[in-house]
Amino acid sequence: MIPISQIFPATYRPLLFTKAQVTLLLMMTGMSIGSLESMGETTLRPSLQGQHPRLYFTTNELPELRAKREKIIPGQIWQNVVTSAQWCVLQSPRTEWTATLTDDPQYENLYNRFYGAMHDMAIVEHLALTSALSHPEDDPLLEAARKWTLAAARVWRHEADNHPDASKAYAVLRIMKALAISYDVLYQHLSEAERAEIRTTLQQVGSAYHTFFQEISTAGEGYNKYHGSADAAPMGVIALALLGEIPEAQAWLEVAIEKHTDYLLTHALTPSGTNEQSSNFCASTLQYRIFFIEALRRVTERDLWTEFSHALPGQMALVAIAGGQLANLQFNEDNRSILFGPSYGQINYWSPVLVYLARQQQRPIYQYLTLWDQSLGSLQRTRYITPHHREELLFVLASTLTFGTM
Amino acid sequence: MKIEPRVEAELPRSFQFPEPEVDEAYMRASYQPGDIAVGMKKGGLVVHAGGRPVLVDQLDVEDINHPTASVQEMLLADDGQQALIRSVGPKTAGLAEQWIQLNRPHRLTIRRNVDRPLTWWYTGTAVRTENQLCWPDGTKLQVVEGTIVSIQPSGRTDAKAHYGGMQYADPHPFTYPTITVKPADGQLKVIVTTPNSE
Repeated sequence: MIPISQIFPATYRPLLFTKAQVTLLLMMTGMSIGSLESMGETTLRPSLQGQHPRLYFTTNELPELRAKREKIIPGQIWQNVVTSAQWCVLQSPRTEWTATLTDDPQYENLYNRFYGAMHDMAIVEHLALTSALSHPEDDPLLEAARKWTLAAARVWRHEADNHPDASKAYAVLRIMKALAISYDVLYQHLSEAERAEIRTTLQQVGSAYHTFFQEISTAGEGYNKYHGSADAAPMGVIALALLGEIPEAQAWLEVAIEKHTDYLLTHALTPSGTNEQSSNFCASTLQYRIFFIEALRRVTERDLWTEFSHALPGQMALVAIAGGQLANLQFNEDNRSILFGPSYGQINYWSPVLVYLARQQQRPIYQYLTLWDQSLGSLQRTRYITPHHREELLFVLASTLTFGTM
Repeated sequence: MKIEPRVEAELPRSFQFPEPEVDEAYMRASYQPGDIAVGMKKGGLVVHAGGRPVLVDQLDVEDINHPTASVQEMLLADDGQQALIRSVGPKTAGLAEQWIQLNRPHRLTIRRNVDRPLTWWYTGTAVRTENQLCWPDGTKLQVVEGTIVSIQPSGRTDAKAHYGGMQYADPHPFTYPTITVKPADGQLKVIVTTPNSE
């Protein structure tokens, strides 16, 4: 299939190709809606049928990725990765789900759930990816990675029966993304029963959120632009992990693609290349675009970077990065290395994006600025901890993969 | 393919994000760590010099839950040697016209028409000598029009809280010195320099 973007210039696309217009065009030319759907379907690469890992690397790529650990700069990043993984191992997996409370005047319950999801996402994802990149004969993280993944699958499965809404989506879909990534990279080390357990959680919660995504009033174009990206991209990653394994995954993937192509990639960032609420949301939006679109082009043959050539603007990074960060910095501060950046949005929030920009756009300046962050590869701890449950906001930005591109 | 880390030739060193909701402009002296980098958002400034924030306005322009209005005018010009941001406002802070001029490589001049004393915060251990602050690496901030009224060593405490009122269990609240400067005849002029200035 030839993407529409290769036929018509991007600037004309929104005008020429609303769904109604395409439908009308097809009716006039005698084609059916069914043929439109089959033309538009983005499918699993045949070589990946039944294969894992697939999202960010394949089994064949692992030896080369592991070999990078021996090089100087990737080796330093790997040290940060391992140090964070060792901290993760010392944490205890969650055993109880935090239910949604209706009486929540100061949003403490909301943030117990949100930070809880972000915390578990970070640890599940970091342990799984670090385990996958460890030496297969000597992997001290595999057991912890498996334990955390299964615990999260059991606890967060309750979300399937917890009516989805916008205040839950940005938390729940992120922990589901982590489960999907862990499922993908640990697949060969999980028993069939364990795989089925994780799939069941993803299937049940994913189905609930697929329904949520159909509601234009709550998850359509008018929805918060950053949260729109942070919700739709994880949905896409979950779908890509399960494509070819559960029938629902194809429809989930189409929803995630449609949201990106219909409005997120054209309107979630401003024409000048930032987010209308904050430059920090610009970084977050780019992170989530990368998580989804990189996996999309690996698992299918669809490359949204080619279709939307302006979807990775880096000018905010060029002007707002004002300083570096040491590897062992414990507590970050507003404006410390990023102008107008909150304490959790400093250069360590941007550097995984910079690595990707360098590779994708072949730009040495992004690689140069990346090296200002000596903590690259670390899981980010923050000063945002809820007062009673002590849920800590953590960030993991697929840092495990960044050394592979250096 | 491996990408060599380097500063590309002809890189932009200033940029404006002009959408009214955003209303930001940035200038940097170079891509060397420690050199001056400055951002203006809706009339509020953040200035980095010597690898630290040396002037951060307290105008709440970063509050995404209660966004402030854009300034009346903002213009960015850059000829390579000299870059300039001109803006008008915000009136609510008593600010009228502002000229922020970066003379590369080491000097930033901030001119503000303002009808009241301004307070901002900074980081690091700066030593005050009359109307000047000096950091250990030689970075200086000099008030050349206006007077330093006071410096509060712990004038600003940053303990993380939710906008709805919930106080987080911040494991490491930070305190910062604040400086209050009174304009002279409605004019404030501040010069920031990094070491190796002429």
